[in-house]
Amino acid sequence: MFALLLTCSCTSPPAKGITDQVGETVPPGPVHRLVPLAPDVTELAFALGTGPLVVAVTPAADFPPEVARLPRVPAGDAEAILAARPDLVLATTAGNDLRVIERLRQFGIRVCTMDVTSFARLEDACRLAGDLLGVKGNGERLAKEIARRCERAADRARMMSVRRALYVVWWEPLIVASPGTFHDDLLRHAGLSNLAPSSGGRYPRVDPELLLDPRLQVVVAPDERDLREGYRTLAGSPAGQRLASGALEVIWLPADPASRPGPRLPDALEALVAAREAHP
Amino acid sequence: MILRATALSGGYGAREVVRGVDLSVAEGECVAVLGPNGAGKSTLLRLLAGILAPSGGEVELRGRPLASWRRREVAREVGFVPQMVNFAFPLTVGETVQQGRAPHLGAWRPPSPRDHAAVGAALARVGLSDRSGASVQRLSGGERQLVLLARALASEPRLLLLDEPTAALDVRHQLEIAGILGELIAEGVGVVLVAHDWNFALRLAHRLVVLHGGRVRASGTPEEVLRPELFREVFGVHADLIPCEGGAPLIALRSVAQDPRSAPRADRPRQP
Amino acid sequence: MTRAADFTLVAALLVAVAASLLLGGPAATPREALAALWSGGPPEVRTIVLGLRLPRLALGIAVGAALALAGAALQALLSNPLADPFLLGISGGGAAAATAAYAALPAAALGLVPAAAMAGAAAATGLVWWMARGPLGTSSTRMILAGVAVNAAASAAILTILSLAPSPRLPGALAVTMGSLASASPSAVAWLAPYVLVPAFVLLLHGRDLGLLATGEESAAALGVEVATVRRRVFLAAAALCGGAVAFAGVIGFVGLVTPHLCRFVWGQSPRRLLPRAAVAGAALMVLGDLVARRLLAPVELPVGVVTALLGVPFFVALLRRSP
Repeated sequence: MFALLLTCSCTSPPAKGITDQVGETVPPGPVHRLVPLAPDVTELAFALGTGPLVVAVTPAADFPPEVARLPRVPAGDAEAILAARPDLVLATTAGNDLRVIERLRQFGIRVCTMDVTSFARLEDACRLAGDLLGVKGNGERLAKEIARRCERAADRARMMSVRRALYVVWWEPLIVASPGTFHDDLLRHAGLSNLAPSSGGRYPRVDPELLLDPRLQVVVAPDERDLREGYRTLAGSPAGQRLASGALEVIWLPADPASRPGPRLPDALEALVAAREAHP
Repeated sequence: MILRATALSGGYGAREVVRGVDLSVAEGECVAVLGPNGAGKSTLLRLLAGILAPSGGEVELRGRPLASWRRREVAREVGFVPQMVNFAFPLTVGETVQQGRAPHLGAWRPPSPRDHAAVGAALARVGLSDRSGASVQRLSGGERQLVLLARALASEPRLLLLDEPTAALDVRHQLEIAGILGELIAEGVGVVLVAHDWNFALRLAHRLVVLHGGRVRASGTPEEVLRPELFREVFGVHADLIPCEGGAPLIALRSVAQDPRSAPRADRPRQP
Repeated sequence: MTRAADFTLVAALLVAVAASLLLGGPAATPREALAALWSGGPPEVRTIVLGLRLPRLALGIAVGAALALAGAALQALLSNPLADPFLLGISGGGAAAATAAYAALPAAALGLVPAAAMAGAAAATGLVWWMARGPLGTSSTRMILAGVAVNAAASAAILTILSLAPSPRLPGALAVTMGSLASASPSAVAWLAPYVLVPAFVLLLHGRDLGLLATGEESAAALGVEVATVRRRVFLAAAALCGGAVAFAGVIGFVGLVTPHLCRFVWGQSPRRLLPRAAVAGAALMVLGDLVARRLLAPVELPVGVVTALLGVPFFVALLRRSP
């Protein structure tokens, strides 16, 4: 009986290491080869000063400019990622296929998955990555910087009245960010109250009538060409009547910082607050 | 003369099943088409009905080429009773027989009392007047055959084409159908009957057409056509022609011919 | 008896119409909506009711009627009670084209998605017709087989497109495969109308022929039906109905399959009687289904195809248990 208990405890060794943002344990160890699997964690790696460790990035990564000379691996291609022989893989719930992550882990690769759903968790992610990459100081500094910028922006926002808003990811069909996402936190820090429903997942498809809701005052969207086009089309249709008449204010944010839960997210917040200040 | 086929050939695609067949049928006359399996009997019937287009020869209906008739006009003159119909939907007997009035109605005209009368008469003729509300899917094989016959009769045709009408029927239904056809023939309706059962055919037929390999092997009255050699050469069986008083002989099948193993043996049960 | 049934059917449609115009989000309460219909009330509410809900209602009626008609006609044409507008692969072709267009076109050109869907449906129609040609002309069995093949190819194409689509386009592309009336607009309804009205007329014209075809093509020919002509016309009519529905509403299942059966249960087998009633019933089912899709988890929208399946299946089961 005792022997059985002993063997049981031997087959499942006590968890050691750092817990990532989805609850998985990342064993500690040196990192010489780093592969971030999305633009947001790529920017994070470079912001922490660990750019030289990055050996490959995903095709969508474009910031900072240094990534241009790096080889590309598709985020869904476990073989290609393995071939890059990473010591650590940085993943994110904002776009990575968790099954691929699981496969990498099965092969013994260390994977740290970020789940940034707010500024607070963004700061945690900075510290977490700093710990794993052996640059604890940088991680702490980056987190503090982000917190400071958010606090300052929120202070400026507090001078203005709270207005009801939606963060639009796509116009037609109408897809918005629900509470509990980093987009929602962006709105809240800027003094905007999110009208999106809590049910239906993080980015639900909603009834276009929501745009005609008289309570809605502001719509925030990333400034991408497709969204500008979609906006133009929508403004010409009955559903976009409030957009065309100006009853509904639209704020366009710099696309990449607003769409990536990474170190440039405060840029988006500052732009949002500045836009609000320009049109009180 | 209602229908005349001259040197009629036809089949499915490139395959010619019927070759150079001559056949005619007049008012009040019954022509039985017989032959072994694959001889082309059903195909011939479809060519006569105009359902299948011929590859050679001609069919004339009332003196005009069949091809020049519109299908609805043909359907008013000629009734076709197929061997089997797949009733995919639960139509009632009445609804099925009413379909027989379609050649007389257009796309829009609702049935008139005249149409209802014709349907009623057809149902009465086959003895199904009291079953008109029953679902066709629930009928026995024999009753279904009667329904199909009634449907063909509802359009009040002057010529009936029947494809093996007694193939899956019990003897009672066989005799019922024979009786109904006999009445119709007596009333002047022409009948072309494809049969596999000689005795059934001989009850009604004024003339016989025997097909073999798509060609007419023998044609004429029963007296002219019926010979033991015919059965041996066309069907490969030994048959006796037993005379019956005042009618066609009874065909008694004995054994398979041209096969040494099956020469008549004393211990083999004789076919009645 | 059928009088009462007809009355109930029309009443059901009217209830569905009223509900879909009056019920909706907090931006326009039922009372406000009612006022808006009587040309009173604030202009925003009028925009919502007349600019958003009314076109959506009209689209729902057109699509529901189109699918039910196509289903009823194909069931008769193919002598198959399980025939469905999607059996012949027409909507598969339309959906594949629409999905591809949605994933690939520049955002400014996304208004062309319905046109792409129509082209895809037409291409699938042509393909099925060509594949179904045998030595005796097209036959129903060959049509079904060809349709199965085209559907399989279309499904594979759709899955491939979805896996390659850029992620912003994915929800819209999925909306095509799951069905949605959200893209309704007055111009959409105007475009769709001829694709519903003309084929509906053709089908009604051949209503009797369809009843005869349901017992087999030979029987029908013997009773005066020009089978080849009717088959071609009915097929094209069903294809137009189907293509139109998919172009503007995506893939919505069950309406085409179940509605004719429900109607047959009440009104009998004759297509002439059945077709107009199936159209009305399909419209009512579609409008109600869309209402539920919109309101059940408001403001989140469910795919309407899911709702029509959920509404249709219990009816279907009840039907199966009743019949022998």
